[in-house]
Amino acid sequence: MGETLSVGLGEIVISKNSEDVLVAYGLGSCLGIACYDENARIAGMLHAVLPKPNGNGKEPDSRYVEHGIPELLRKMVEAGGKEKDFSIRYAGGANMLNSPGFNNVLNIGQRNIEAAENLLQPGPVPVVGKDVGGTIGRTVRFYVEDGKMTIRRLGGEEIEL
Amino acid sequence: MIAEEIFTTQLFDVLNKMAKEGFNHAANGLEGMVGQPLRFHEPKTDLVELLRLPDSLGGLEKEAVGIYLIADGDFRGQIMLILPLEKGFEMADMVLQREPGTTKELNSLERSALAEVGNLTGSFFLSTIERITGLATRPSPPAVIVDMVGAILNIVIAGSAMVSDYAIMFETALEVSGQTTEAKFWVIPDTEVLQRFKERSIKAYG
Repeated sequence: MGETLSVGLGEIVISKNSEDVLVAYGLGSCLGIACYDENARIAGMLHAVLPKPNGNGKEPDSRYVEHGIPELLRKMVEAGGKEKDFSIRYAGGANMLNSPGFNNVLNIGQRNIEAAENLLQPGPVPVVGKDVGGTIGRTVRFYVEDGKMTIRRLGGEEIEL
Repeated sequence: MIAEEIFTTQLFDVLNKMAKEGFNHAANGLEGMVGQPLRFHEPKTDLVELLRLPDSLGGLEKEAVGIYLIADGDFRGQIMLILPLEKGFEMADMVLQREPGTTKELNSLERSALAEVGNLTGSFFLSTIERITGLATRPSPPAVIVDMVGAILNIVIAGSAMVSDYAIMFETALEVSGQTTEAKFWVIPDTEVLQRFKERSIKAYG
């Protein structure tokens, strides 16, 4: 029996149950980064909040894109996956505030996207789909059965990435 | 800084008094805008983990409207007036003096009206803080966001750079001509100003 597993802020959830669905609800500037091993049928999702820690935080903390992506890949391997079989999809990074005077907050979505791109683009794991930016929040679902990702925006239909 | 060390019973008593005063002032300001007698119900004050804030609004995916301000000066922090979307429609009807049920979506007029509610309430609240603690502060212009609760929450979490884990939540209701709409205020003070704010406000209220 499969479950809908909510991936909360700063969390990583891994599943090998083909009936499970991993969900990150209401992503705004956050990123939902999902990794799939198509041979082992293992799925993992990271819900990253900020690009990187301020100051000297050395402890791995999956609330940050820079820490969370390596941690996601590590947990996938720990669960029995092989990096050569991994692919990545990610979504989110909306600019939630268009109003003037909020530049500090406004940049977080874009900075999250850039942090993910910097880590993923030169890496060995291919990015096979992404839906990032814009000004509206998203709910992201990731299906363990086949690695499919769907996106639902406020007031919109669910679409497959 | 551990939240439990700062948010003592004594500070909560002070916050309650401050909120009551602040909302009363805000009601006076809003009366001028609406042109009708108006009041906020006595606020209930609580300390809530940032990640638990969506629970009281029906979850991360629930549609909501947030009115957001940043306070800057000697007292710094973020203020978010947040309510479920349908309550936002109700509040727009009340403020624009329309028949209940008229507003079906938030266009520029309705958004401006809600922005003004957030602006006035936030400004009066901050001026109460300034008067009591002497910590000068000024609000940014308000931003109105209509989106999922999770996406709105992202704004305050990003704004606090994850330094604050808690928000002070004031639950109240706005009443105009017998119509009532519940609303929640999240106040996320900058952790650097919290200790000074606490010392000064406790001293002021004796």
